Order: sequence, then C-alpha cells, then structure tokens
Amino acid sequence: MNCRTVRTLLSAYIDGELTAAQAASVEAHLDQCSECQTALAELKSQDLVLRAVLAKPIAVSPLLTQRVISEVQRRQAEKAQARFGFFRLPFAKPALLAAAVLALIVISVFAFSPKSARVVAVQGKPLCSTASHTGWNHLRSGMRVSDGTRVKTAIGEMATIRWPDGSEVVIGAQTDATALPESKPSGVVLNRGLIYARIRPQQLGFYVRGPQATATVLGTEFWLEARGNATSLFVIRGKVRFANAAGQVVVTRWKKSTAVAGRAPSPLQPTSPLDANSFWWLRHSQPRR
Amino acid sequence: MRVDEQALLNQVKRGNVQAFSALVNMYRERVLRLAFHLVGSYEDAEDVAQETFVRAYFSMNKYDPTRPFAPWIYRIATNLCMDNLRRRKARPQQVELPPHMELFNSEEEKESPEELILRDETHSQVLDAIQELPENYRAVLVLRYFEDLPYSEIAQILGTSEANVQMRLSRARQRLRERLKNIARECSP
Repeated sequence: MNCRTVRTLLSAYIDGELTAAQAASVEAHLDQCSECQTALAELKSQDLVLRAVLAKPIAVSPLLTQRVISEVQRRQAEKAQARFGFFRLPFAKPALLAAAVLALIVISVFAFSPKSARVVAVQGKPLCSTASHTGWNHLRSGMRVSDGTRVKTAIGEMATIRWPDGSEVVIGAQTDATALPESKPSGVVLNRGLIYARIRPQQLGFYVRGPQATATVLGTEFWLEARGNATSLFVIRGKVRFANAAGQVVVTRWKKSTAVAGRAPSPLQPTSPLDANSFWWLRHSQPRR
Repeated sequence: MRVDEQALLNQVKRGNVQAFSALVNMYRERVLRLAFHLVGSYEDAEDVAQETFVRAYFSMNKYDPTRPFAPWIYRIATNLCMDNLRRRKARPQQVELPPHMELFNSEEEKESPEELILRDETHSQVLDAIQELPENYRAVLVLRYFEDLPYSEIAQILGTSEANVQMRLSRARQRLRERLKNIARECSP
C-alpha cells in the first residue's frame, strides 16, 4: 500500500470502519512511514476538536415539545375541516346536506375565523372564565378567546392560545392569567405563574403585564414568570422592553431581568433554557402520569 | 431500541399524542443539535426540529417498527435541513453560537482539552469551518460526530452507500485539516 492510498483510508481507520485486512495493511504501512504517522496524529487531534464541538449537547427551548404538539393539533384540525368538503357530502340526503352546509358555515365563522384568538392546545384540565360568564368552566381546545378570558392552570397543566396572526402564548403550569387578544396593543395580564410568548413582528407592542413589571415586545420570543414577590423575564430571541414605574431595561436574546416592587428591573444577566428556572418550568410542565 | 421507546412508538402509531409528546422529549435535543450543525442557525434549527417532529407524527404509518427509530427521524431532519439550506442559499448568514456557549465558563476549573476548544472564539472558528464545507460533506461529518453514528447508519440516513460515506468523510476531514490545524495542535493531549 502506498502513501496516497493510506491517506484516503486513514479517516475510516480512526473510525474503526476498515475491514481487518485493510486495517492490517494500513498499520503495516504506518510502521514504516513517518509522514503517514504525522498525518494520522493530525487527524486524531482534529477528531478530538470535532467531537468536542459536534457532540456537545445544545440548549433546547423548553417549549419545543409544546410547540410541536400545538402544530400537530392545528394540522389535525385543518384535516378534519377538509374532510367536511362539499363534494364528499351525500347528495342523496338533502336534509343532511343542508345541515352539513349550515354546520360548515357555523364552523367557518366561529371555529376557524382567522380574526379570533383560539385555544389551540390544552394539557390537563385548565379552568377558564370569560367577561360574560364569570363562573369557571374547563378550557377546551378550539375555544375562542376574547378580551377578559381568564385562565387558571394547576400543576402539570398548560394551555396554548394562538393569536389570529399566528403569535402564540403558552400559559404554563400553576398560572393565573387574563388574555386581552382583541385590545390594541393586545396582551396578557399575568397574575401569577409563567407565560411563554412567541410573538410575530406584526404584534409589535404586545405585552405581558406581571405584578411587578410589564414586558413589551419589540418582535420576539420570551417568557415571563411571576413567583413570590418577583417578576422575571427571559428572552429567547428578539428584544423585549421590561418596565415598571421605577425604570426599564431592554432585554435581548438569552438574557434575563428580574423586577421586584418599588425597584427598577435588574440589569441583564445571561440565561438559557438550561438554568434552574427553566428546570422549574420543565418539571411543572410534564404531563401527569 | 429500548423497550420503553418501542412501547411509545406503538402508542404513537395508534395516534396517542401524549406518547408522542414523550417521544419528542426523548429526541428533541439530538434533532435540534443535528439541525443546528447542518443549517448553522439556531432559529432555523428550531423551526426544522419542530417540522421534523410534526412530519414524523403524520408519517408514522410509513415507519417500520422493526427498524430503529433514530435513523428514521434523523433522515427526516436531514432532508428538511437540506431544503432549508437550498432556500437560504440566496441569503448567507453568519453562524451563530448555540446558547449553551454564551453561558459556558471554563475559568473556574482546570480546562481539559475538550473544554479548551469550547471557548467561544475557538468554538466559533470550528463552527465556521464546518459551515464552509459543501453540504454533502458537512452532512456526513455532522452525522458522524453528533452521535458517533456508524457509516452504515449514515448511509441509510443520506440514502447513499457506505463507500460514498467513507469517501465524503475522508474528503471533509482533509478540507478541514488546514483550517483546524492550529486549534487541533493546541488541544492535543
């Protein structure tokens, strides 16, 4: 085996992917060739570098799973809607046809109206009340969300509300929040707990008002947590203005700020979904077994 | 394949969304990391990862439960990454660091060679070098290192032969040699 052939096989050799015969030939050549030994040593050093970079675990947005499930449920709803297509209906039964067309109109107007915010995913049995019905009912996927709809979740429960433009607000576990999707700008009032928001650029000015400070979107993805006497903002991408009566900060991606009553929000600190607060989120957002 | 994963997959095949949610939790880091290293943008990688799982859910009837699940989902992710790269060709972007890098602080402890190279600047150089590889070389390299996949699985994921994987990987490493020479020398034990 000559040097040229050996060089093309060294890569597979360090991966242990050569046949026993090929490996033996490569080793026999290496025993006699110092240049190929150097090439092998360089390849092994490079291997170490690449392994350290490419095998290093990466931070995952803790709500990726929730977003996947929301999207699955949205597409299932679309498919279900498509199955009610006019041409598939039984023309031999005019009464059924009329009822089906009426139902389709009702569904189009009320359930799939692009102008309303809707509940698109529910985990557990969160409760809700609306401005017109103050009693508590179970929140259901597909429900329309109007200004003043209040949602309460317990441990292990979550709800995702999608705004007409595709912006999404996830109400986390053990949270009490009121949605204001029809107001300008639209927003959510967080009384307690955790809100995750992924906001489209057209919803500029969207806000989540916590007890100690308000987070206002400058086009972004973030979550806001109100626990104990503090409200904390974690920004995943984009920029969010975090303000209260005492002052304001603009929080940028992978930074956090905390506000307590009577004091301006704290200076920016680095964060990631891997820090302790996010583990808190994950722990409380797992489905009940 | 682990028994609990097999049980989950059977439930997902029957349309159980809760089981699917658990399956996503098992694979989300790996799929996101694969996508990140293939497309070079954390935000695009998140979108690719989300679409990978959604497509997997709606294609479960095509998944053969007698075969391992990982290569199947990696294949969906890799194909979506290639689509993403084709769409983005007109708008090249700088590689961004994944968020764990911004928090990485290795000064408190004695650095191992692996930790040394994970310093932001160096890490960024390695990522840039990987991103500059042609797509077909980069795909093989990333699949090899991100989970130590054997050539047979890489070939299966990319729909090519093992010989082709061996050739592409060898050439990818040769191309990286000059770019990474200095970094590799610093990190040699």
